[in-house]
Amino acid sequence: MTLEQLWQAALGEIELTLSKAHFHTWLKNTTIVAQENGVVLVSCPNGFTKEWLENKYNKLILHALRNVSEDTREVRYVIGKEAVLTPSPAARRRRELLVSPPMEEQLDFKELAVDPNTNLNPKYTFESFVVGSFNELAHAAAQAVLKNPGTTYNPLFVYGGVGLGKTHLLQATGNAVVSQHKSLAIKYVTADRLANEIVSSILGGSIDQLKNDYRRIDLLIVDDAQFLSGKEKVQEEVFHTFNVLYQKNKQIIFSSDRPPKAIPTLTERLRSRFEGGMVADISYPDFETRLAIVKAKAREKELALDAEAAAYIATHFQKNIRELEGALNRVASQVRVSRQSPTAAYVQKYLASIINEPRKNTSPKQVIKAVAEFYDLSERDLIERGRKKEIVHPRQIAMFLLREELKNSYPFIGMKLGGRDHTTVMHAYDKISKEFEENENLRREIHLIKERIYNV
Amino acid sequence: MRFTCLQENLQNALSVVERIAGRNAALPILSAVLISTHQNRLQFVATDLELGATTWCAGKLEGEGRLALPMRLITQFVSNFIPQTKLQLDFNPPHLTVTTENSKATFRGLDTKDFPIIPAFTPLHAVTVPVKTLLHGLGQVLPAVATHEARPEINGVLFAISKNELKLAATDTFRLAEKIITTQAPDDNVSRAARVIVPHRTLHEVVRIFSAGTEDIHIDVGEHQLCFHTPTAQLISRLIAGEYPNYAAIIPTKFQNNTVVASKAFAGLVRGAAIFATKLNDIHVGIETSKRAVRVSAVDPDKGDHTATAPAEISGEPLEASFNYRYLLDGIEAIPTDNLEFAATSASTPAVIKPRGDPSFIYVIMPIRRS
Repeated sequence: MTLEQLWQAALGEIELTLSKAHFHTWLKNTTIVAQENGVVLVSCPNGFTKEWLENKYNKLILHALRNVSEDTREVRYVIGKEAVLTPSPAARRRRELLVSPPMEEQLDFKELAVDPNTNLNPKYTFESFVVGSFNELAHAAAQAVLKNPGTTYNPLFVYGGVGLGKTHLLQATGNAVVSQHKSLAIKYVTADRLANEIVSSILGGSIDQLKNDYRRIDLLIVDDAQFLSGKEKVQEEVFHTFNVLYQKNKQIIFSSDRPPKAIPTLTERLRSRFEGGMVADISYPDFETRLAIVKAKAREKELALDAEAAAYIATHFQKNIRELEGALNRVASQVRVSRQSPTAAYVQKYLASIINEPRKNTSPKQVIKAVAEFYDLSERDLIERGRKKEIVHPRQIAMFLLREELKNSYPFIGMKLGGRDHTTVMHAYDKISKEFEENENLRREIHLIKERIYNV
Repeated sequence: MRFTCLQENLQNALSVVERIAGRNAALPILSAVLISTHQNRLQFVATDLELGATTWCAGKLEGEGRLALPMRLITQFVSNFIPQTKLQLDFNPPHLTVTTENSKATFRGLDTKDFPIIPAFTPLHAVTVPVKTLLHGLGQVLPAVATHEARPEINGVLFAISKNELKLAATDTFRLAEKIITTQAPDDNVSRAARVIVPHRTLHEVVRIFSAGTEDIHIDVGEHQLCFHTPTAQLISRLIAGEYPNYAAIIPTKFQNNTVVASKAFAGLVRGAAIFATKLNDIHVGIETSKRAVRVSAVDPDKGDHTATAPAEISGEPLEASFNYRYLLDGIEAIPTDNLEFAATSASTPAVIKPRGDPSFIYVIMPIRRS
């Protein structure tokens, strides 16, 4: 007989001797949590119930239990975990609508949505993750990790551009592991935050504590690993923690905006470890996938978007899913105010201001600065006479970008970059242009630099 | 058994326990007050199985007794007399007879055997603060508590007890209030720091029950329960299970600008603009560095618009941001000092309101996205 059956049987007898009101007041939400050597442990929802059962109903309960299970000698009572009522998402949404006017516009503390134990945000799930050719490798790898954490692909390294769903994938994996492997200790952390934690614990003298905390984790997820760049002490700690976890077959997942090779000033030993498991990339979604994303998001927001309008949005936001979602949010809130159904013309009208946003102005200075930062060089290195390979390539990229983005003349570019001859610049531009066509990695690099230039 | 007292004393005792008694419970006994003799005092107890309140009444006591009366019946009856009336209570369970100079009433009581037992618990931590300080602090943070129950763990106020401070924090994910109360050094046997979540309803009752007090209030914290007590009353409550969010990361430390403005003037600007706010409750705050002024305005296409300014000391950049006026006002009204600091960075990042020269309170508020 299971504990539940035992308790149900006993309750059936108790119910006969009590009034309905008493029975409901004092015995609902009680369970048997343990039975050992004739001692039965009953869990009560609160202190009042515990006192009452102990002092008033103990004899009755003991008697009832003895009738079912003869060797019961004693009943003890504990305050159990309160049944935490988690309303269904639908109920929650309804409630929020009731409580507040359209809340889309009222910003909230994002940090509060995260689970304090794992740092994961429950809103990221695999159900809301749209898979297409651009991310199926990364998705499949994450699924494999979910099935066998720590053995199949360890570490998993996911990289891809801004706003393409790296964080979503990582967090969804974490959340899925939480629900499927309840006993595992999981921690999601951004490299930036990890670095801050390490630095402040070194200052505060609690580094050993931090190390121990991290070494107890079964699944460690480090987001935006490119921020480890240039932080040697932090890299050292990450390296040691990595080794400890890896040797114990604990799963580690990293993400970054570029492949391990392209992260500047990453120590060789850490780089080789990043590359030691599975490296999966997320590229740009094709039109069909973008359309699927628009439709999925519109359904989530209960926005009735017609096919033409959806196609319009999918066509105009190609390189960043986050921006695409932002555009959808804008349409959704506009629709709520105006109460019109969103046709293509309507969508076009309201998104015109974002889509036709004039290209932000930039300057040669900003371009040079962004390139130098990206490759972790100083601006002087780019301008001075060095001919080392590590410097020549970035310098050529800078020339290419100045030509492409600002349409500067070759002599002007040469002058800006340390008084070089215009033929040098022409050569560099031709070389990078050609490579740009052929080399996917270079395209990605240049795209990232452009993001830096325009996102300052 | 006989008890004689003044109406005002009985009225005070009843008012402490009055609101605790359950209203629509299936068990009639839960809407009753238990009156009994306890250590030569007359004790009043009421509970709704979430909260339990106990208080005592001053008067002349002869003998011992115990009975339960419907709460509403006895409170309505007692409130009919003027404060100086002398009331004589004669206990003949289950009946209670109340006699004055010119009246006599007999109540039919309920069976005291059914009255719940107020649970006792072993305190793991204890902290003592002046009643006024606690109530003031609660008044500052309570408006920010989430009132809907979608997330139980923020449906209460965090009590973070450490060696010599008591930190109160409340948030509904749109704003956050934190108050730090310095406490006397506790006994050495309660050194372990505690972080518990107290239901907001409990705290509203605390504010009500102890508002007349001037003495110290003791807070005992157990594993599942806590107890507020003074020599005149005590309130036992459950704690909310769960982990309070780690909110420290929310509080910004760097700002683009910092504005010092008179608290009352700022509140006035917000109230004025609030009349013209749309359904979103949105009003706009402008920090005008050139004019050395704070501007608050609101526009509703149906109602009209309103703009008002107040002089301010500003350092940093100009700023335009929109806020829910209720949230803003809750923060401003929690400021006890004449001047407050309003610090912000952009129209989409949290802003901070704090009293000038008083680091013990901080209010963080998220803006409304401007269209």
